[in-house]
Amino acid sequence: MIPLWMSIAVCGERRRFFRLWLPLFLLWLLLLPFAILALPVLAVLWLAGGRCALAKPIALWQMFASLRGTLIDIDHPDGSVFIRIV
Amino acid sequence: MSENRKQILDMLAAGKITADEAERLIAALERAPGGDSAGAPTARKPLPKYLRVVVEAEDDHGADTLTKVNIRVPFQLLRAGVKIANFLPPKARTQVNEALREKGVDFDLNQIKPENLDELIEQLQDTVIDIDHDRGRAKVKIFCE
Repeated sequence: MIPLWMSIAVCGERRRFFRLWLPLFLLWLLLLPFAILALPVLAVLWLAGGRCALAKPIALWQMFASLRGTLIDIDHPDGSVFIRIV
Repeated sequence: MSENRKQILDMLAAGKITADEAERLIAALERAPGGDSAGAPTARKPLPKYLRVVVEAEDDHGADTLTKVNIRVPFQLLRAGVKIANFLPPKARTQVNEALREKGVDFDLNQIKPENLDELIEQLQDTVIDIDHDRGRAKVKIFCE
């Protein structure tokens, strides 16, 4: 399933804290009209070239969609990084 | 009728075992986990979904400072990455293989295919790599969940 939100927290050397919460589901909503507009083009490409014509965009989409559940948590005395994609 | 029960009854009919022994064997079959369904395939464990890497290392700053790394990567992401790697031009793949070989990693990118990865994931189900280096100064644990 596509990722819905992403949480990033970075703590720098001088204890400067940066936190960001990204609602990815809003991004999908914004991209939805463009995806609908692109559907006829994709359909023509599919009919003309078969599945191979769309293999790269499908692979890229699969990679992006499979990010859900990724967790990166690095805690170092000089700084820390936390990334979570849900 | 299960295969095991049939074998017991065949042995009884052939006179190889007595009725008491057959009764005990059948009772033992029924008590065993899975009961009488010896012919049915055992339920397969679900495939793991994530690859976890957990590292704890003492920092050069001193024994009180620890560097901790906790990474969880979905296997779907690895599968998608393998599919994308197939789109790399052959020349780029050769260059990557050469660079890996220079670093002492004898690995061929051309051998990574989605079906190979699925087989690898299946084998990794029960694998846990636990490294305790230099008496606890660095611990690395790699497992699937």
